[in-house]
Amino acid sequence: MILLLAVIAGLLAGAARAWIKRRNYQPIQLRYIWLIVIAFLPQWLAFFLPVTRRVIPSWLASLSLILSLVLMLVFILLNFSINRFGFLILGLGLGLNLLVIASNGGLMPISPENASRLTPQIPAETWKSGNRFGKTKDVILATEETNFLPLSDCFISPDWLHYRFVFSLGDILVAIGIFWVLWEPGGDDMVVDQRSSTKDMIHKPGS
Amino acid sequence: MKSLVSEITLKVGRINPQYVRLTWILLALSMMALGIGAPADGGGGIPR
Repeated sequence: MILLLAVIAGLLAGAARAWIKRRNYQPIQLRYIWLIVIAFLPQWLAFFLPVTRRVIPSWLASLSLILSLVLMLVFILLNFSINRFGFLILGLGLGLNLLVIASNGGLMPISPENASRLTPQIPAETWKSGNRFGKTKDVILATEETNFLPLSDCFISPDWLHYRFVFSLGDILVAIGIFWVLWEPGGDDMVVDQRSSTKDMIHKPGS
Repeated sequence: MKSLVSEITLKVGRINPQYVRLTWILLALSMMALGIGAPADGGGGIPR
């Protein structure tokens, strides 16, 4: 959920940039959006929808995750030319997550220590290596058993932040990529097509 | 009924295509954010 903040922040920053530059905010034209919907569907069933995630076994959940990430990577490649830097960073983040997930059995590894920090009310010894972390996309793996450890969910939000979450290096890149994709259209130098532009989308100051 | 349908059609036709495009972009990027990253960040499925 924390990555959704990147979507909100990117949109607000892009709109602010357009306003400062006295331009219209021109959202990019993504292609094959239906592919994202199809890609997200298996994950939605395996990890998000409570009714289905209870009954879907871990092997199927991990298969869904990998299939979903591969389809998302295809989507990024198909849209790469629209915003090269944004989609490069986004694709790199996805690729790193996919690498660590695929090389650790199909789920994102998390150490028992980080798992217990996320769930302080559950005894730390509950988290045995190899078990799935609840019904999330994570699997408990000791650090010595984790392939590509620096790419796993090894970062945790600081203690002073009330909301605890873990994240990976790939997640950071994904957040930057999403932010960039939404921020960049706010300052584009492209010629505005008067027929399709929204003059009222971002009001120019003083107009 | 006919007037209701035509009224809805008219209102939908007035929606700026840029807003529709932006909505799709936000939807797609949100699905990517949820799908690619932040697997265990306090969202659903974490044992409590």
